[in-house]
Amino acid sequence: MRVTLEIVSGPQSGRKLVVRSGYSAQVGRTEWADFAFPDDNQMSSVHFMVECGQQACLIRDLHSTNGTRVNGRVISESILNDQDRIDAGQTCFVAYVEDAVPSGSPDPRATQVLAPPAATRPAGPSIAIQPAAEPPEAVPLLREASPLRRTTLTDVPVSAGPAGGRVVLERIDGPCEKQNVALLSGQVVRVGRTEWAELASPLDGEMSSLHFAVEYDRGVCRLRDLNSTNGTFVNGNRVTETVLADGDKIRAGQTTLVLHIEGGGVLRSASPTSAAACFRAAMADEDPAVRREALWAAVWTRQPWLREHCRTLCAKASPEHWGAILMLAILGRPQDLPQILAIGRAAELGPRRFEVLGAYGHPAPVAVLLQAMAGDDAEAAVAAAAAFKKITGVSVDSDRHVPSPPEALGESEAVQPGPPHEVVLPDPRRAKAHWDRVKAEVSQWTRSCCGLEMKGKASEDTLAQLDMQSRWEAICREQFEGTCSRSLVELEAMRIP
Amino acid sequence: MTNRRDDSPDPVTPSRLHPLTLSPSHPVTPGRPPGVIPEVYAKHLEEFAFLWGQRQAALRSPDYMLSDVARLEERLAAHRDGLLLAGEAAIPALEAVMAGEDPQAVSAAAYILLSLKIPKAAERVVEALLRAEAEKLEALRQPLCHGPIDLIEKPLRDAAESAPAPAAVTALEALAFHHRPDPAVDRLVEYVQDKNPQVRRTAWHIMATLNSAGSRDAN
Repeated sequence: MRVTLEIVSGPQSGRKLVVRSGYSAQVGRTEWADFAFPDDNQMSSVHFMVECGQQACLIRDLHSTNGTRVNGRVISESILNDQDRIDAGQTCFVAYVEDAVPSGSPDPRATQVLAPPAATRPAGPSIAIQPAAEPPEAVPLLREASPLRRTTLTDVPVSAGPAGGRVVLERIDGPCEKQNVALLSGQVVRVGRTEWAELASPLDGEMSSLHFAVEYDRGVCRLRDLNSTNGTFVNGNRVTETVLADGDKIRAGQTTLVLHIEGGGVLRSASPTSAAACFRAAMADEDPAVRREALWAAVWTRQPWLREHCRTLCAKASPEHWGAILMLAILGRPQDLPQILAIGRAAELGPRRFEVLGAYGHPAPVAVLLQAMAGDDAEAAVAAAAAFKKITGVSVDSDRHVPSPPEALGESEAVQPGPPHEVVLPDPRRAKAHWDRVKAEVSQWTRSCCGLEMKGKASEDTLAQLDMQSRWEAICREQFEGTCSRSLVELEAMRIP
Repeated sequence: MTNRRDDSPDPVTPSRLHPLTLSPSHPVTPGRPPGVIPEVYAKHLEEFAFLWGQRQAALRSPDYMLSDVARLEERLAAHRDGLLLAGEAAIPALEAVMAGEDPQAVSAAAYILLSLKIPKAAERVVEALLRAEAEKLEALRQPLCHGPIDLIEKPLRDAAESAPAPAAVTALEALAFHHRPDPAVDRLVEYVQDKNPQVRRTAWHIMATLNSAGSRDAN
């Protein structure tokens, strides 16, 4: 048996892909797939799979975003018949199945397809696809062998070359026994439930057949979720794609893995214990500027303990821990609302407590801000109006001015350019009127910034609408969650030639 | 930079501009390229220093948008281009400004010295780095990060290797910012525990710089 997929429309129209009996192939947009369609932006990274057995061919959607259709019908799994039309993204295929079981024969699934896919896959190379010799017009789009290679620690030479070290993915917990897989620069390893994965966890029922992939290239280690059903989590945060750091914990299904990056990198050369000790000492540093810089370093190095550390200090509600309090507001999750609200109501922290509410961006504390704007304390009213603007994007200045207040707290996060000699008091009625207009919609959000819902990774368009402080905070949040592809240098560097 | 219509002598030492007055001991006039007016040069430098401070403060400010920062940078570029026209003749004056106390002026002068891309100009910045302490050192951090360092990479690496901790960590930061991390980064673990809080602070900033995603891309 053999199936030929002829591309009848789409970016690679006219080409043919062949999968022979006993083999399978994945089709998708990225190089994770065996047949890659990089120009089809509506195709998922790994979109569908074709398995060609002895008596039947099976097509299986791999949790694609836009679905796989066979003869116009969305399928999750289906027998592939001769001349079936397959739609995936912008690409349309026609399947030509040769030596198919004639119509009326017993359902081939009963005898073949119901068997685990692995049963049809020969031992040997990790990607077992053969370009067909026939038909002659078929153009194999196969990569020259797969870059994927099953490797073990013993496979890896001691000298790792100029790329600097190797990466070891260690399975530390889950239904399957502990196992290590090492990658050198240029290698990729896929983790999943089936033996299609280079690191397979067949006993983990919550893991997808191909769950995520880790690629190591020139010192950078990237993880991509392969449209898994239950998601991939790095240090507790769900990710689709992220750059990994040494010590990152990855959870997929019931399985936990830890990444070790050997050689290169700051603090990687230090033992985990000494790195933790450095951070611990810095968090207790007598100089608030050192504490603040170490907190940002903890964000950019994605220290897994950071959020919990901030929660602990936030509970003390002391101006001494202002940096950590503000950091919790920036990184906090919806469940931190009660603690953040308590800070917003702690009058002993002064007007700057409203800055925390602004950075957190949750709509619930807006009532506290409205109350402060209507109060007698001018300094508090001004701070509350700034937080209101940060959340809603609307300035509610009145025509009343008061002398500029002195610095409320010494540990300022941002020096304001050109401090004004007087400040403008807000108009609480304008603020309330605006809030009444938008409240119904914004109250559905968990974080609002400049009137925009902040959910997941912010688009470039969204970032361009944020003020520089909010933009910085949003990017830091993404960095901490592992979804940021920017560097600190990129954010700070001048953009002039 | 303004081009003069005649070749008449210029006043040598403008003194009305504070703190960017060109030093009387380093007059611009002798050897200056035709058309350079010291008052105008000083004004450009003063504006550059002011905008430099504005830009640094704007980077995390709620009062600025990215487009505002871009406009600040365009203005900085315009003043910089004017200042660079003076070429080598401006080195003594810039060196004098860099020896002053005003942090923004020090930053501006150091940045222009590096941007001249003349070896002896760039070397002055390294010399200043090796002599600097406390606030002066702080003022030199940003120009070393944002200015071109090709001409001083070797002395910066030497400084990272063997200079006292405050200068070494500043040199390391510049190298890291330019995606040229030095093997001496291994000493960061020591620097984050240094007795000098300025060293500790800079070391933590380098940690963040080196460990952010794009930096790893560049390594």
